[in-house]
Amino acid sequence: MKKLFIIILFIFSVNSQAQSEKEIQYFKQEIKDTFKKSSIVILRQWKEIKYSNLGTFDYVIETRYRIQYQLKDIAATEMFKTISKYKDVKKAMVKQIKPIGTEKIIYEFEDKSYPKDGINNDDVFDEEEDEDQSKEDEIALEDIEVGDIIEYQYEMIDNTKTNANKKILINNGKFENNLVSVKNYNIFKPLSHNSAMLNGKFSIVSSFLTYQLPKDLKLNYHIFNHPANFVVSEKNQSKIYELSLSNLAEYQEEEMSYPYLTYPNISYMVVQTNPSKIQNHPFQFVNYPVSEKEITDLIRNLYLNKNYISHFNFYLNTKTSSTPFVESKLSDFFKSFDKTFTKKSKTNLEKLNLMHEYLTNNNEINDFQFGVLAETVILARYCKHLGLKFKLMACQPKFNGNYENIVSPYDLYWGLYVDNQSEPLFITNFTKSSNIYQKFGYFSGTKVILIDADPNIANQTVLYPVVDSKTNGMDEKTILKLINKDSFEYQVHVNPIYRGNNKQSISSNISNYFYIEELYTFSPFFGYINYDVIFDWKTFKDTAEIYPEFRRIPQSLKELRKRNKNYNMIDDLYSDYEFEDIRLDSFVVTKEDGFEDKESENFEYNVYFKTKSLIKKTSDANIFVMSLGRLVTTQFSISNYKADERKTDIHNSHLRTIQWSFEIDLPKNMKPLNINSFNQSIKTKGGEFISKLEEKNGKLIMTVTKAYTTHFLPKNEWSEMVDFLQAAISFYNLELILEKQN
Amino acid sequence: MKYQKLIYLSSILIILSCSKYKVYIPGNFERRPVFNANEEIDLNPTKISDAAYYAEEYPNERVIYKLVKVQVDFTINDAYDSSAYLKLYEKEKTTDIENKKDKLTTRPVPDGQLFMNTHNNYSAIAIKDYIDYPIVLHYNSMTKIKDFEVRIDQNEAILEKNDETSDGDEYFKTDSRYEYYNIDLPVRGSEIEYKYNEFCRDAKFSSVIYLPERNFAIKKIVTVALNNLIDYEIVEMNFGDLKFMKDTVEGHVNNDYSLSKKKYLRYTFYNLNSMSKYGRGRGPSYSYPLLYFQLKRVKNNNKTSNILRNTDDLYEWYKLVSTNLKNDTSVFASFTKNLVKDKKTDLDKIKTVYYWVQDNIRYIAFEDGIAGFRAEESAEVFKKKYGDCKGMANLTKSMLNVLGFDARMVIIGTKHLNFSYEKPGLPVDNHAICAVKLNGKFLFLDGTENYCAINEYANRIQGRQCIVENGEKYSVETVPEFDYLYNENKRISNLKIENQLLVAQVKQTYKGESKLDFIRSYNYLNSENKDELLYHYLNDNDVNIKVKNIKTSDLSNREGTVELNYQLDIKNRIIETNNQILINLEFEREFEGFNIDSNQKVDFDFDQKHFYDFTTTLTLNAGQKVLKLPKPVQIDNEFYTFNLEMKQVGNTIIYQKTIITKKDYLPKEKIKQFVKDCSELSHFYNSYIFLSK
Repeated sequence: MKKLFIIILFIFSVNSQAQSEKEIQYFKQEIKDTFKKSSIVILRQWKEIKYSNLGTFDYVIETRYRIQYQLKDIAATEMFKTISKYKDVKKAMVKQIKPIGTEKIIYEFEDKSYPKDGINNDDVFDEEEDEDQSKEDEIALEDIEVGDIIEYQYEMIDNTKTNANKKILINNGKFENNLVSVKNYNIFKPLSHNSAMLNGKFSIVSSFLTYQLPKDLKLNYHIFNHPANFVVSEKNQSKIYELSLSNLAEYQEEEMSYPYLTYPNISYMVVQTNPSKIQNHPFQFVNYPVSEKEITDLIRNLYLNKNYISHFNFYLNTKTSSTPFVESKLSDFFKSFDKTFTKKSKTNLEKLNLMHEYLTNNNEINDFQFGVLAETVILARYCKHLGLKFKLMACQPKFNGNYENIVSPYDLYWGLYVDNQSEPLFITNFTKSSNIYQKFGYFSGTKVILIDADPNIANQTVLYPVVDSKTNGMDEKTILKLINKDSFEYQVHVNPIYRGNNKQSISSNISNYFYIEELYTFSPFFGYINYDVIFDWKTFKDTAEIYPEFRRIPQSLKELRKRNKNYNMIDDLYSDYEFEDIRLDSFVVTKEDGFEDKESENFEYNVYFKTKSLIKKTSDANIFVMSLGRLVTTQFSISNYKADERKTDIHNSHLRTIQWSFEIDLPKNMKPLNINSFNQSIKTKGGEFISKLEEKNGKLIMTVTKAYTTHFLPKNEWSEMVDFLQAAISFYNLELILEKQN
Repeated sequence: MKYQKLIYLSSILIILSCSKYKVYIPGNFERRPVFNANEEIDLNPTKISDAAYYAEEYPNERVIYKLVKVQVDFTINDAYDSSAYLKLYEKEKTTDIENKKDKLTTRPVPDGQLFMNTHNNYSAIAIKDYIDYPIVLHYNSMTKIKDFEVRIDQNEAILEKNDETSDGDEYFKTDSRYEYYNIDLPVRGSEIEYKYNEFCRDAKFSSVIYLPERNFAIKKIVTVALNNLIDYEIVEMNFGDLKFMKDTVEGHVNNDYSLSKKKYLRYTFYNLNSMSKYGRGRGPSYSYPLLYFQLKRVKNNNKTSNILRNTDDLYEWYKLVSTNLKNDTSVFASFTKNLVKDKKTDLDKIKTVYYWVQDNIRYIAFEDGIAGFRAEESAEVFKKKYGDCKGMANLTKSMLNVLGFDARMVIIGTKHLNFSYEKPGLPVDNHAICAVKLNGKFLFLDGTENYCAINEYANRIQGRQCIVENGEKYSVETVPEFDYLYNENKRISNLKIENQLLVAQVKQTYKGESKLDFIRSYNYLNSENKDELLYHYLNDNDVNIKVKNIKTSDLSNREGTVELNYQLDIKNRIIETNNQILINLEFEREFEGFNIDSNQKVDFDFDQKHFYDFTTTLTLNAGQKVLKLPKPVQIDNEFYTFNLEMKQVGNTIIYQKTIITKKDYLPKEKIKQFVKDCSELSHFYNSYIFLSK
C-alpha cells in the first residue's frame, strides 16, 4: 500500500508536531459519506504544514499528515490486505479502525536519527525503489473486513538549505546512470509551490489543510472551480491559513481533457515578503494577483543577472551589475560553443538551434531550478551575441487558464520570441528532442506577453500563431507486392515520414529503438563537469596492426544494436497490423541523427517485411478475405461507454493529419466484391476520416486521410469527436471480400 | 554521428603485453566492471577461433556450456533426532520476519536423516559478443550455497554479490532467496568457469534435479553416490529422446580429492537443450527431463530409519510436522455456531462455513521454514483473517469440527505436478484443502478458491489423489473429476437486421470453471467500475457494439448457473455490394491463430476443459434469400471437438458452434494436428454468409 502514501493531494513539503486540539476535534466530528457507490473513500484527510525560521534566510518545514481510508467492498479489502512499511519519514503510523470504533495500531515507526532541522533535499537522490526490499517490507493486515478504516499518519521535516554540492545522475549518451557529485548552483531553493487537483483517485468526504507561516512569509493561492477559501488568522507572530473542503467526488480521467479547467484545483506558493531576504527568492511573485510588471521584472532581472546568480557566470560571464547589463567580453562558454559546435552552421538560427539542443540535452546537469527560465535567459543572451532580434516571453497555455489567476512563476510558460523575418519563432519548449521552430497547439491563438531586455521599452502583446492540423502529422506510403500467389505471401514496404511535432511525439517510441547516443548529438563538450576526473577516461588511438577480431568488435556492437532495434520494430509491426506471421527483412532509418532538433528534417524510415496474413482463406475455396483495413495500423481506441456523460470540455492540443497511400498487388483472377465499403468520408466538427479505394491495372490503390481538425469542442459535442475516431477504428477491422473468377 | 564514429575507431586500442592482447570495448559494457574493476579484457586467438567454431555450430545460442558436472553425495546424519520437531513447537512461534534476511526463517525445519551435498561445476563460453551472463544460485532455509568460485578466462574473478528474495508476489512469502553475480562478456571467446556446493540439511527437500540448464550444454555429467546404507531409487522422468549414457565410476566424496574414492552412478548427457527450448507446458515436472530421488530409508549404527518408503511414511512426516497443533476452537466456537444458527441441513451448515472462509479469510502466505508444511493454528487464522492454504483448510476443518462434522485436513498435489504417491516424496504435494464427510462421502473444500461453490472443484485439483488425515491413520482419496460438460459456456443469440444494424438478443450462461472465472473477477472489481467493466466485457471492447438492457442472475451467488441477458446493437458488420448482403456471424473466434511450435517437446496446457456451446439465429428480412453459407467444420477426436455449422431453417440461418477440449491438456504429439485443425476453424471464422438484397 505504499502507493497510497503517495496520494497526497497537495505536494507541499512536510513536518512533525504533536496533535493539536483542532486536529483531535476534526477527527472526532461526525461526517456523512455520500459516496455510496465507491469502493474506497477518504473519510478524513488532515494536512498541517508549519514553517519556522532556520538561521537568517532559511526555514524548517514540518508536515503532519493523516488520512483515513474507508474500505467499502471486498475489492477494497483486497487492496489493503498488505501494506508497506514506510521508513523515509520522521514518524509513521498505520491504524486500523473497526466499524464499532475499536482501534489497533498496525505499524509504528520513528526515525530517532532524523535530523532536527529536517532532511536537506539536496542530498536526497531518488533512486528507483528496490523492489526486492519493498516486497520484504510488506505487512499483512489482520482481521480486515468491509467497513474498516485504515488510517495513515506520518510526519516529515524538510528545510530550505542548500548544499555546496549535489548528487546527480549522469546520462548524457556517454555514461549511463552514474551518480556523481557536482557543484550545486541552485542556491535559491524555492518555497512550497504547486498546482494540484483537490480531488483524486478516491472520493473525499472531508479534508482540512492548514499552513502556519512566520510573519515574513505569506501564502499566495488561487482555488479554481470550487467556492472554498482559506480562512486567515494570526497567532503568536504567525499567520495561519486554514482550508476546509468536503464531498469532493473522485477525479475521472477523460480523453482530450484539460482537467484543471473543470475540476477543483489549487495553485499556490509560499512567498517571502521581507525586503531584506527577498534577494534569495528570485523565483516568486510577492503579490497576488500578479501584475504584468512583476512578470516582466522577474525574467528581465534574470536576463540582466540583477539577482546575481553565480551559475550564470559560467554561461554569461557576468557579475553583479547595474542596469543596463554590459557584457565585458564573450563568455568562455559561448566561445567554446562557437568553436566546437557551430563551425559549420550557415545561419544564426542554426546556431541558436544548436545552443537550444545543447541546453536541452544537458539539462540534467543542474536541473533543480534552472529550468526553462534559465534556459530562456541563456538562449536570449546567445541571441544577443549572435545579433538576432529577440524578446523575452511569458505565455499561458490553454490548460492553465488565464493570466489573472497565476500565483507563481511556475504557473507560466516562459520562452523566447525571435523576430525571424519569414515567421517569428516562439521558443517555449526546452525538453529533449524539441527544437526552436516548433509550435504547439495548446498555445494556439493565446495571448503572449513580449518583454524587451531593455527596461525602457514597453511590453508588447501578440497572439500565438494558430497551429492547424496540417503542420503536424505523418505521410505513410505502403507498397505490397505479391511474391507468392499460392500462399498469398506479400512483401510489404512501409515508408512513413513524420512531420512537425509528430516526429517529437514519437521520440519516446523511437528511443526504444536506439541507444541514446544514437539519438542525440554526441558531445565531447560536457559543460563544466570534468569527466576525465570522474571516470578516468582514456584516449585510444588506432594502430596499423589491428588484429582482425578486434576490428569486428565495434561492428558486432552495431549488429547487436541493430538486432535490438529490429526486435522492437517487429513488436511494433505485430501490434500495428496484428498479422501473426510478420518476418522483418529490414528496417532502415533514413535520418537517425538530430532530426528532432532540425526543422527541415523529418523523421523517416523504411521497413520491409513479409506476411501471408493479408489474404485469408474461408471455408469456400473461391472466397477470400483481405484484411485491407489493417493496413492503416491500429487506431486510437476510444470507448463508447457513457459517451453521453462527458464531464469536461474537449481540448485537442495536437492537431494533425495522417495520410496513408497504398499500392497492393491484387492476385490474378480475384474480383473484389465490396470496393465501395472502402470509400468513406466522415467529416465532423472534431475531425475527418476519408478513404478511397479503386482497382487499377491489377492493383488496389487506396488513400486514407485522418485529420484532427479542432482545438476545442464543448463537452456536449463529444460525439463529434467520437464519431470520426470510431470510423477509423471500424475501418481497421474492415475486410475486402475477394471472389476467385474461374 | 560523426563524433560517435570517431570514438568507435579511436577506441580500438591494442596494447601488446606479455603476448596477450588487451582491448578496450566500446559500447555500454565498459560501464560495469568485467572483473576486478578492470575495463580491459584479455583475448587470445585460440579462444576466439573456438568461439567462432561454436557460433557456426550452434547459430541460435549466445552462450554454451562446454561441460556441466553435478556430483551428488549423501551423508548420514548421525545426530538425527525426530523429537527436534517437538522441541521446535515448544517455542512460541512468531511471524516476525524483521530479521528474516539474515536468518531466513525464525521457524527452521530440523535436520533430516540424510544430508545432501551437490557439487556443481560449470564451464561456459560466450560464442557471441556483448553477453550479459548473470550467475544465479538459489537457496533457502534448508539449503546453503558454499565455496562459490568463478574464473573468467582463467583469471580468478571477484564479483559483487547480490542477494534477493525469490518471493513470487506480495501475498506469498517464502524463505527462498537467490544470490547472483552479474558478468559481462563483451567479446566472444570469453570463458567462465564456476563451481559451488549446495548443501541441503534434509535430502528429501532436494529430491529433484532438473537436467536442462539455462543454456545449451554440449555435455552434462551427473554422478550420484552409491551407498549401501542408503536405500533410494532414482526415477528418470521425461527422458524422451535424450542422448545419454549410464555407467558406474569411482570418485572422490564431495569432489574433495583429499577424501577417499567411492562408487558413483554416472549419467552422461550429450547436447542437452536449454530450458527455454522445451516450450509451454503443464508445469516443469511435465516438461523437463529430471532425476527424482525417492529416498526410502537409511541405516545408521545398525538401526534402520525410514524416510519416505511409501505414503505411510509421508503421512508420518506430515503428522510429525503438525505435532502439537492445538487447534483451540474456543476462539471461534460460538461465532461458528451463530453463523449457522438459521441453517437447517448439514449441507447448508457446511456451505455456510465454507463460503465464510472463502469470503473472509484472505490468502496471504508466509511459508518460510516449517510454515511451508505445518498449518497455522486455526484460532490464529480466524483472528488474523488471513492465511495460506493450510491455514485456511485447518480453520475450515476446525469450524466444521465445532459443528460436529467429521472434517479433516487434506494434503494434495495440484495438476501442476507430475509426481504421484506411487513414488512418494515432498514434491508430490503442494496444496492443502479440507474434506468433510457427509452422508458417507467426502466433500472437498478449498478455501483458497474464492467463489467456488460446494461440490464444485477448481480444475487444478480435479482428479488428483490426496492424503486425508484420520488421526493415526489416513486414507488416499481422489477429488472428483468433471468432464467438459461441467464447464459449459452457453450462448443463445437471436439476431435480426435493422437497416445497417445487427440487433442481437443474447442469453449467456456459465457453469463450472467458466462461471468461476467470471464471477470471481466480477466480484473482486471495485464497486464503481463494475458496470463499466461488465459492459466492456460484453462488447469485447468493440466500439461497433453497444450493449443494452443488461440483466443478470445474482452475480454474488456462486451456486448454480450464472445467466446474463442483454441486447447488442452491432454496427459495421453488414457489407453491401450491388446486389448482395454479406454478413460474418462470428464474434468470438476461439482458438483462432493458435500458434505454438508444432514441434514443442511438451504437452500443452489448456488450464481447463473448455466447452463452448453457442447458437446464433439470424432472422432474414422479407425478400432476402440465402445465396451462400460457409461449409461446416466437423472435427472430433479423443482430445477435442470442433463442430461449426450454419443451416437455413425457414427464414432463419442457424449457426451452431460447439468447441470442446475434452482434456485440460493436449499431448505433445497431437499439437501439430491441433494447429492444423485450428486453421480450419479460422477459415470458418473468416467466412461470410451471402444474402440476396
